[in-house]
Amino acid sequence: MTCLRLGVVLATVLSAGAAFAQQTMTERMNAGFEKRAPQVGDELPDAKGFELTGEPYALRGDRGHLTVLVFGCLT
Amino acid sequence: MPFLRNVPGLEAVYRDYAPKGVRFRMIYKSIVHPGTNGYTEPYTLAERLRHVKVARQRLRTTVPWICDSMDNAIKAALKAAPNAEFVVDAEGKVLRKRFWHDPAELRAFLAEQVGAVERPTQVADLDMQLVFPERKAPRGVVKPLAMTERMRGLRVAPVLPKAAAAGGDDEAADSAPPFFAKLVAEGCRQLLRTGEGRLYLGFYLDPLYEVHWNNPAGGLSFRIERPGDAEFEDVTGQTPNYEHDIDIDPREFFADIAAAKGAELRLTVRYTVCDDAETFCMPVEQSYTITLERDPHAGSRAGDWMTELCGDPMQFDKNEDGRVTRAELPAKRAQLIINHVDRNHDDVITAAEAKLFHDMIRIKPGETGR
Repeated sequence: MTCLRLGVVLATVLSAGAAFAQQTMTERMNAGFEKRAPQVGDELPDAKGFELTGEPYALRGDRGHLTVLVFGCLT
Repeated sequence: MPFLRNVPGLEAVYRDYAPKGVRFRMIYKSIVHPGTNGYTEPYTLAERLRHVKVARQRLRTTVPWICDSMDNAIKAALKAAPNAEFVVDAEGKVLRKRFWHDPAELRAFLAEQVGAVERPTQVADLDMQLVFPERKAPRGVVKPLAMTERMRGLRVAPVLPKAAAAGGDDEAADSAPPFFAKLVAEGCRQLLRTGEGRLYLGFYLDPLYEVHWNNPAGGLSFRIERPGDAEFEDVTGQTPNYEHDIDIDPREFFADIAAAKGAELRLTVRYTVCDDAETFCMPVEQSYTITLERDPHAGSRAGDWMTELCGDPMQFDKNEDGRVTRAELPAKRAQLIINHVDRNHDDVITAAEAKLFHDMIRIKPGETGR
Protein backbone atom coordinates (compact mmCIF):
# COMPACT_ATOMS: atom_id res chain seq x y z
CA MET A 1 0.00 0.00 0.00
CA THR A 2 2.85 2.31 0.93
CA CYS A 3 4.56 1.51 -2.35
CA LEU A 4 1.35 2.31 -4.20
CA ARG A 5 1.04 5.68 -2.44
CA LEU A 6 4.68 6.46 -3.19
CA GLY A 7 4.08 5.51 -6.80
CA VAL A 8 1.08 7.84 -7.03
CA VAL A 9 3.04 10.71 -5.45
CA LEU A 10 5.99 10.09 -7.77
CA ALA A 11 3.73 9.96 -10.82
CA THR A 12 2.06 13.21 -9.75
CA VAL A 13 5.40 14.95 -9.25
CA LEU A 14 6.74 13.71 -12.58
CA SER A 15 3.56 14.73 -14.33
CA ALA A 16 3.69 18.22 -12.81
CA GLY A 17 7.37 18.49 -13.73
CA ALA A 18 6.68 17.51 -17.31
CA ALA A 19 3.83 20.01 -17.56
CA PHE A 20 6.10 22.73 -16.15
CA ALA A 21 8.82 21.87 -18.66
CA GLN A 22 6.33 22.08 -21.52
CA GLN A 23 5.22 25.56 -20.49
CA THR A 24 7.10 28.32 -22.19
CA MET A 25 8.60 31.12 -20.12
CA THR A 26 5.88 33.43 -21.47
CA GLU A 27 3.15 31.05 -20.35
CA ARG A 28 4.61 30.89 -16.85
CA MET A 29 4.85 34.68 -16.66
CA ASN A 30 1.30 34.95 -17.95
CA ALA A 31 0.07 32.55 -15.28
CA GLY A 32 1.85 34.58 -12.60
CA PHE A 33 0.28 37.79 -13.85
CA GLU A 34 -3.20 36.25 -13.91
CA LYS A 35 -2.76 35.12 -10.33
CA ARG A 36 -1.13 38.19 -8.76
CA ALA A 37 -2.34 41.22 -10.71
CA PRO A 38 -5.64 42.81 -9.61
CA GLN A 39 -8.57 40.72 -10.75
CA VAL A 40 -11.43 41.85 -12.95
CA GLY A 41 -13.87 43.62 -10.63
CA ASP A 42 -11.17 44.68 -8.16
CA GLU A 43 -10.73 48.32 -7.36
CA LEU A 44 -7.58 49.84 -8.82
CA PRO A 45 -4.89 50.06 -6.11
CA ASP A 46 -3.68 53.41 -4.88
CA ALA A 47 -0.28 54.17 -6.41
CA LYS A 48 1.38 57.30 -7.61
CA GLY A 49 3.61 58.30 -10.48
CA PHE A 50 4.31 61.51 -12.35
CA GLU A 51 2.96 63.50 -15.26
CA LEU A 52 5.61 64.46 -17.79
CA THR A 53 5.66 67.93 -16.24
CA GLY A 54 6.85 66.32 -13.00
CA GLU A 55 3.48 66.87 -11.30
CA PRO A 56 2.23 63.93 -9.23
CA TYR A 57 -0.17 61.49 -10.88
CA ALA A 58 -2.54 59.24 -8.94
CA LEU A 59 -3.61 55.95 -10.46
CA ARG A 60 -7.08 56.50 -9.03
CA GLY A 61 -7.24 60.03 -10.41
CA ASP A 62 -8.89 58.95 -13.66
CA ARG A 63 -12.13 57.92 -11.96
CA GLY A 64 -15.14 59.00 -13.92
CA HIS A 65 -13.60 57.87 -17.19
CA LEU A 66 -13.21 54.55 -18.94
CA THR A 67 -9.42 54.33 -18.86
CA VAL A 68 -6.85 52.23 -20.70
CA LEU A 69 -3.49 51.65 -19.01
CA VAL A 70 -0.66 50.15 -21.04
CA PHE A 71 2.85 49.57 -19.68
CA GLY A 72 6.01 50.13 -21.66
CA CYS A 73 9.54 51.53 -21.70
CA LEU A 74 12.28 52.38 -24.18
CA THR A 75 13.46 48.84 -24.73
CA MET B 1 10.86 44.93 -27.79
CA PRO B 2 7.46 43.44 -28.56
CA PHE B 3 6.21 46.53 -26.71
CA LEU B 4 7.82 48.78 -29.30
CA ARG B 5 6.10 46.73 -31.96
CA ASN B 6 2.70 47.35 -30.38
CA VAL B 7 2.97 51.12 -30.09
CA PRO B 8 1.65 51.97 -33.58
CA GLY B 9 -1.40 49.75 -33.00
CA LEU B 10 -2.13 51.45 -29.68
CA GLU B 11 -1.73 54.85 -31.31
CA ALA B 12 -4.38 53.92 -33.88
CA VAL B 13 -6.81 52.80 -31.14
CA TYR B 14 -6.07 55.97 -29.16
CA ARG B 15 -6.86 58.22 -32.11
CA ASP B 16 -10.20 56.48 -32.60
CA TYR B 17 -11.34 56.13 -28.99
CA ALA B 18 -9.94 59.17 -27.18
CA PRO B 19 -12.53 61.34 -28.99
CA LYS B 20 -15.19 59.01 -27.55
CA GLY B 21 -14.12 59.93 -24.04
CA VAL B 22 -11.81 57.00 -23.30
CA ARG B 23 -8.66 57.97 -21.40
CA PHE B 24 -5.36 56.39 -22.36
CA ARG B 25 -2.27 56.22 -20.18
CA MET B 26 1.01 54.73 -21.29
CA ILE B 27 2.86 53.95 -18.08
CA TYR B 28 6.61 54.30 -18.49
CA LYS B 29 8.28 51.95 -16.04
CA SER B 30 11.65 50.36 -15.35
CA ILE B 31 13.72 49.23 -18.34
CA VAL B 32 13.02 45.64 -19.38
CA HIS B 33 16.08 44.94 -21.51
CA PRO B 34 18.93 47.15 -20.29
CA GLY B 35 21.43 47.88 -23.01
CA THR B 36 18.98 47.83 -25.91
CA ASN B 37 19.81 50.88 -28.00
CA GLY B 38 22.15 51.76 -25.14
CA TYR B 39 19.36 52.59 -22.68
CA THR B 40 19.64 51.38 -19.10
CA GLU B 41 17.84 52.19 -15.89
CA PRO B 42 17.96 55.94 -15.10
CA TYR B 43 19.34 56.99 -11.71
CA THR B 44 17.08 59.96 -11.05
CA LEU B 45 13.47 60.92 -11.66
CA ALA B 46 14.68 63.74 -13.91
CA GLU B 47 16.44 61.16 -16.08
CA ARG B 48 13.40 58.90 -16.16
CA LEU B 49 11.21 61.83 -17.20
CA ARG B 50 13.69 62.53 -19.99
CA HIS B 51 13.46 58.89 -21.03
CA VAL B 52 9.71 59.27 -21.41
CA LYS B 53 10.09 62.36 -23.54
CA VAL B 54 12.64 60.56 -25.72
CA ALA B 55 10.31 57.56 -26.01
CA ARG B 56 7.37 59.72 -27.08
CA GLN B 57 9.52 61.54 -29.58
CA ARG B 58 11.26 58.50 -31.05
CA LEU B 59 8.13 56.40 -31.18
CA ARG B 60 6.18 59.34 -32.62
CA THR B 61 3.20 58.60 -30.45
CA THR B 62 0.67 61.09 -29.16
CA VAL B 63 -0.75 58.82 -26.42
CA PRO B 64 -0.43 60.55 -23.01
CA TRP B 65 2.39 59.03 -20.97
CA ILE B 66 2.79 58.70 -17.24
CA CYS B 67 6.15 58.17 -15.57
CA ASP B 68 6.25 55.54 -12.84
CA SER B 69 7.98 56.55 -9.62
CA MET B 70 11.62 55.61 -9.07
CA ASP B 71 10.51 52.85 -6.69
CA ASN B 72 8.24 51.51 -9.45
CA ALA B 73 5.10 52.00 -7.34
CA ILE B 74 2.58 51.64 -10.17
CA LYS B 75 4.27 48.61 -11.69
CA ALA B 76 4.43 46.96 -8.27
CA ALA B 77 0.81 47.81 -7.38
CA LEU B 78 -0.49 46.27 -10.60
CA LYS B 79 2.08 43.42 -10.71
CA ALA B 80 2.49 44.52 -14.28
CA ALA B 81 4.26 42.59 -17.01
CA PRO B 82 6.45 44.64 -19.39
CA ASN B 83 3.57 45.34 -21.79
CA ALA B 84 0.59 44.65 -19.53
CA GLU B 85 -2.75 46.24 -20.30
CA PHE B 86 -5.66 47.16 -18.03
CA VAL B 87 -9.02 48.69 -18.83
CA VAL B 88 -10.63 50.39 -15.85
CA ASP B 89 -14.25 51.50 -15.61
CA ALA B 90 -15.49 54.90 -14.45
CA GLU B 91 -15.75 53.63 -10.87
CA GLY B 92 -12.09 52.67 -10.83
CA LYS B 93 -12.66 48.92 -11.11
CA VAL B 94 -10.70 46.62 -13.40
CA LEU B 95 -12.84 45.66 -16.39
CA ARG B 96 -10.21 43.75 -18.29
CA LYS B 97 -6.57 42.84 -17.93
CA ARG B 98 -4.07 41.34 -20.29
CA PHE B 99 -0.58 40.06 -19.61
CA TRP B 100 0.48 41.45 -22.98
CA HIS B 101 -1.19 44.35 -24.75
CA ASP B 102 -2.88 43.51 -28.03
CA PRO B 103 -4.14 46.55 -29.96
CA ALA B 104 -6.62 44.57 -32.08
CA GLU B 105 -8.21 42.93 -29.05
CA LEU B 106 -8.30 46.24 -27.18
CA ARG B 107 -10.09 47.83 -30.14
CA ALA B 108 -12.67 45.05 -30.15
CA PHE B 109 -13.21 45.43 -26.40
CA LEU B 110 -13.63 49.20 -26.59
CA ALA B 111 -16.07 48.76 -29.47
CA GLU B 112 -18.20 46.64 -27.13
CA GLN B 113 -17.99 49.28 -24.40
CA VAL B 114 -18.50 52.54 -26.25
CA GLY B 115 -19.36 51.55 -29.81
CA ALA B 116 -17.37 50.80 -32.92
CA VAL B 117 -15.62 53.40 -35.01
CA GLU B 118 -16.93 53.82 -38.51
CA ARG B 119 -13.55 54.18 -40.18
CA PRO B 120 -10.84 52.77 -37.92
CA THR B 121 -7.41 54.35 -38.14
CA GLN B 122 -4.96 51.98 -39.83
CA VAL B 123 -1.39 51.57 -38.64
CA ALA B 124 -0.30 51.94 -42.27
CA ASP B 125 -1.79 55.46 -42.22
CA LEU B 126 0.49 56.49 -39.36
CA ASP B 127 4.08 57.59 -39.83
CA MET B 128 5.45 55.65 -36.89
CA GLN B 129 8.74 54.06 -37.90
CA LEU B 130 10.95 53.78 -34.85
CA VAL B 131 13.78 56.25 -35.35
CA PHE B 132 16.99 56.40 -33.37
CA PRO B 133 19.29 59.10 -34.72
CA GLU B 134 22.78 58.34 -35.91
CA ARG B 135 25.47 59.06 -33.36
CA LYS B 136 28.80 60.72 -33.95
CA ALA B 137 30.78 57.80 -32.55
CA PRO B 138 30.49 54.23 -33.88
CA ARG B 139 28.89 51.36 -32.03
CA GLY B 140 29.42 47.66 -32.54
CA VAL B 141 33.21 48.00 -32.68
CA VAL B 142 33.92 46.44 -29.27
CA LYS B 143 32.99 42.78 -29.14
CA PRO B 144 30.40 41.98 -26.46
CA LEU B 145 31.57 39.87 -23.57
CA ALA B 146 30.69 36.21 -24.09
CA MET B 147 28.52 35.02 -21.22
CA THR B 148 29.42 31.68 -19.71
CA GLU B 149 26.46 31.25 -17.39
CA ARG B 150 23.14 32.85 -16.59
CA MET B 151 23.39 36.04 -14.59
CA ARG B 152 20.82 37.90 -12.48
CA GLY B 153 20.56 41.68 -12.12
CA LEU B 154 21.86 43.09 -8.83
CA ARG B 155 20.91 46.22 -6.94
CA VAL B 156 23.01 49.18 -8.07
CA ALA B 157 22.83 52.75 -6.78
CA PRO B 158 24.92 55.79 -7.63
CA VAL B 159 26.87 57.38 -4.80
CA LEU B 160 25.71 60.98 -4.90
CA PRO B 161 27.74 63.95 -3.69
CA LYS B 162 27.60 64.18 0.11
CA ALA B 163 25.51 67.36 0.27
CA ALA B 164 22.83 65.93 -1.99
CA ALA B 165 22.84 62.55 -0.25
CA ALA B 166 22.26 64.31 3.07
CA GLY B 167 19.11 65.84 1.64
CA GLY B 168 20.47 69.34 1.93
CA ASP B 169 21.37 71.87 -0.70
CA ASP B 170 21.67 70.24 -4.09
CA GLU B 171 24.46 72.58 -5.10
CA ALA B 172 27.06 69.84 -4.96
CA ALA B 173 24.88 67.56 -7.05
CA ASP B 174 24.17 70.34 -9.53
CA SER B 175 27.83 71.10 -10.03
CA ALA B 176 28.82 67.44 -10.28
CA PRO B 177 28.75 65.80 -13.71
CA PRO B 178 25.85 63.43 -14.33
CA PHE B 179 26.42 59.70 -14.32
CA PHE B 180 27.26 59.48 -18.01
CA ALA B 181 28.00 55.77 -17.58
CA LYS B 182 25.25 53.68 -16.06
CA LEU B 183 26.39 50.53 -14.35
CA VAL B 184 24.65 47.22 -14.96
CA ALA B 185 25.80 44.63 -12.42
CA GLU B 186 24.77 40.99 -12.53
CA GLY B 187 25.74 38.02 -10.46
CA CYS B 188 25.83 34.29 -11.03
CA ARG B 189 23.64 32.06 -8.90
CA GLN B 190 26.50 31.22 -6.56
CA LEU B 191 27.35 34.87 -5.96
CA LEU B 192 23.77 35.53 -4.94
CA ARG B 193 23.63 32.46 -2.73
CA THR B 194 26.97 32.77 -0.99
CA GLY B 195 28.60 36.14 -1.78
CA GLU B 196 31.36 34.34 -3.66
CA GLY B 197 31.27 33.99 -7.40
CA ARG B 198 31.32 35.75 -10.72
CA LEU B 199 30.15 39.33 -11.14
CA TYR B 200 29.29 40.92 -14.49
CA LEU B 201 29.89 44.65 -14.83
CA GLY B 202 28.68 46.65 -17.82
CA PHE B 203 29.26 50.40 -18.08
CA TYR B 204 26.76 51.78 -20.58
CA LEU B 205 26.99 55.35 -21.82
CA ASP B 206 23.58 56.90 -21.29
CA PRO B 207 22.26 58.07 -24.71
CA LEU B 208 20.51 60.97 -22.93
CA TYR B 209 23.84 62.75 -22.59
CA GLU B 210 25.09 62.16 -26.16
CA VAL B 211 28.67 61.52 -25.11
CA HIS B 212 31.25 59.01 -26.32
CA TRP B 213 34.31 57.34 -24.87
CA ASN B 214 37.57 59.13 -25.49
CA ASN B 215 39.81 56.08 -25.80
CA PRO B 216 43.27 57.69 -26.16
CA ALA B 217 42.73 59.32 -22.74
CA GLY B 218 43.43 56.07 -20.90
CA GLY B 219 40.27 54.02 -21.22
CA LEU B 220 38.11 53.01 -18.29
CA SER B 221 39.34 51.60 -15.01
CA PHE B 222 37.50 50.57 -11.86
CA ARG B 223 38.14 49.43 -8.33
CA ILE B 224 35.75 47.46 -6.13
CA GLU B 225 36.17 47.65 -2.39
CA ARG B 226 34.13 46.67 0.62
CA PRO B 227 34.37 49.56 3.08
CA GLY B 228 35.27 48.44 6.58
CA ASP B 229 36.16 44.90 5.55
CA ALA B 230 39.90 44.35 5.90
CA GLU B 231 39.51 40.78 4.65
CA PHE B 232 38.09 41.85 1.30
CA GLU B 233 40.73 42.10 -1.40
CA ASP B 234 40.01 44.99 -3.74
CA VAL B 235 39.15 43.98 -7.28
CA THR B 236 40.32 46.13 -10.18
CA GLY B 237 39.83 46.25 -13.92
CA GLN B 238 41.05 48.23 -16.91
CA THR B 239 39.99 48.30 -20.54
CA PRO B 240 42.55 47.28 -23.18
CA ASN B 241 43.71 49.67 -25.91
CA TYR B 242 41.18 50.04 -28.68
CA GLU B 243 41.78 50.63 -32.37
CA HIS B 244 39.12 53.32 -32.47
CA ASP B 245 39.66 56.67 -30.80
CA ILE B 246 35.96 57.02 -30.01
CA ASP B 247 32.95 54.73 -29.70
CA ILE B 248 29.79 54.26 -27.62
CA ASP B 249 29.91 50.52 -26.92
CA PRO B 250 29.55 49.32 -23.33
CA ARG B 251 32.65 48.46 -21.35
CA GLU B 252 32.13 45.00 -19.93
CA PHE B 253 34.04 42.96 -17.37
CA PHE B 254 33.82 39.84 -15.27
CA ALA B 255 35.12 40.01 -11.73
CA ASP B 256 35.51 37.17 -9.26
CA ILE B 257 34.19 38.27 -5.88
CA ALA B 258 34.75 36.73 -2.46
CA ALA B 259 32.48 38.54 -0.02
CA ALA B 260 29.63 37.74 2.34
CA LYS B 261 26.12 36.93 1.15
CA GLY B 262 24.22 40.14 0.44
CA ALA B 263 27.35 42.27 0.94
CA GLU B 264 27.43 45.87 -0.16
CA LEU B 265 30.37 46.72 -2.40
CA ARG B 266 31.57 50.09 -3.50
CA LEU B 267 32.79 50.47 -7.06
CA THR B 268 34.69 53.55 -8.23
CA VAL B 269 35.20 54.09 -11.94
CA ARG B 270 37.39 56.46 -13.93
CA TYR B 271 37.01 57.30 -17.61
CA THR B 272 36.99 60.22 -20.02
CA VAL B 273 34.08 61.20 -22.22
CA CYS B 274 33.53 63.88 -24.84
CA ASP B 275 30.18 65.15 -26.00
CA ASP B 276 29.06 64.54 -29.57
CA ALA B 277 28.71 68.29 -30.16
CA GLU B 278 32.43 68.65 -29.35
CA THR B 279 31.94 71.27 -26.67
CA PHE B 280 33.74 69.38 -23.87
CA CYS B 281 35.88 66.42 -22.90
CA MET B 282 35.85 65.49 -19.26
CA PRO B 283 37.62 63.03 -16.97
CA VAL B 284 35.08 61.46 -14.63
CA GLU B 285 35.48 59.64 -11.32
CA GLN B 286 32.27 58.35 -9.76
CA SER B 287 31.16 55.61 -7.41
CA TYR B 288 28.29 53.18 -7.18
CA THR B 289 27.19 50.73 -4.55
CA ILE B 290 26.47 47.18 -5.64
CA THR B 291 24.46 45.02 -3.28
CA LEU B 292 24.79 41.29 -3.82
CA GLU B 293 21.02 40.87 -3.90
CA ARG B 294 18.76 40.31 -6.86
CA ASP B 295 16.98 43.44 -8.10
CA PRO B 296 13.47 42.43 -9.20
CA HIS B 297 13.29 45.47 -11.48
CA ALA B 298 16.64 44.94 -13.20
CA GLY B 299 15.22 43.21 -16.30
CA SER B 300 17.44 41.13 -18.53
CA ARG B 301 19.98 42.25 -21.08
CA ALA B 302 18.61 41.47 -24.53
CA GLY B 303 22.04 40.85 -26.01
CA ASP B 304 22.41 37.92 -23.67
CA TRP B 305 19.37 35.65 -23.64
CA MET B 306 17.71 37.03 -26.74
CA THR B 307 20.73 36.16 -28.83
CA GLU B 308 20.48 32.61 -27.61
CA LEU B 309 16.75 32.40 -28.27
CA CYS B 310 16.54 34.25 -31.57
CA GLY B 311 20.07 33.96 -32.99
CA ASP B 312 20.20 35.27 -36.52
CA PRO B 313 16.64 34.85 -37.85
CA MET B 314 17.91 34.85 -41.43
CA GLN B 315 19.60 31.50 -40.82
CA PHE B 316 16.11 29.98 -41.08
CA ASP B 317 15.63 31.19 -44.64
CA LYS B 318 15.39 27.66 -45.99
CA ASN B 319 14.33 28.57 -49.52
CA GLU B 320 16.88 31.40 -49.66
CA ASP B 321 14.41 33.97 -50.93
CA GLY B 322 15.69 36.64 -48.53
CA ARG B 323 12.60 36.41 -46.29
CA VAL B 324 11.78 34.18 -43.34
CA THR B 325 8.17 33.15 -42.95
CA ARG B 326 6.61 31.77 -39.77
CA ALA B 327 6.55 28.31 -41.40
CA GLU B 328 10.31 28.40 -41.82
CA LEU B 329 10.97 29.15 -38.15
CA PRO B 330 11.40 26.43 -35.51
CA ALA B 331 7.89 25.83 -34.17
CA LYS B 332 8.77 26.33 -30.49
CA ARG B 333 10.49 29.66 -31.05
CA ALA B 334 8.46 31.01 -33.95
CA GLN B 335 6.19 33.27 -31.91
CA LEU B 336 9.01 34.65 -29.82
CA ILE B 337 11.12 35.44 -32.87
CA ILE B 338 8.18 36.98 -34.72
CA ASN B 339 7.33 39.10 -31.67
CA HIS B 340 10.83 40.49 -31.41
CA VAL B 341 11.94 40.84 -34.99
CA ASP B 342 8.91 41.28 -37.25
CA ARG B 343 8.27 45.02 -37.12
CA ASN B 344 5.37 45.42 -39.54
CA HIS B 345 3.19 42.56 -38.29
CA ASP B 346 3.14 40.67 -41.59
CA ASP B 347 4.53 37.43 -40.12
CA VAL B 348 7.53 37.68 -42.43
CA ILE B 349 11.04 38.64 -41.37
CA THR B 350 13.11 40.54 -43.89
CA ALA B 351 16.86 41.09 -43.85
CA ALA B 352 16.20 44.75 -42.98
CA GLU B 353 14.11 43.75 -39.93
CA ALA B 354 16.78 41.28 -38.83
CA LYS B 355 19.44 43.99 -39.12
CA LEU B 356 17.35 46.43 -37.08
CA PHE B 357 16.91 43.76 -34.39
CA HIS B 358 20.64 43.09 -34.24
CA ASP B 359 21.48 46.78 -34.19
CA MET B 360 19.15 47.30 -31.24
CA ILE B 361 20.64 44.58 -29.12
CA ARG B 362 24.21 45.23 -30.28
CA ILE B 363 25.15 41.89 -31.75
CA LYS B 364 26.25 40.98 -35.20
CA PRO B 365 24.32 38.32 -37.14
CA GLY B 366 25.79 34.93 -36.45
CA GLU B 367 27.24 35.79 -33.04
CA THR B 368 25.76 33.67 -30.36
CA GLY B 369 26.98 35.68 -27.39
CA ARG B 370 27.67 32.47 -25.51
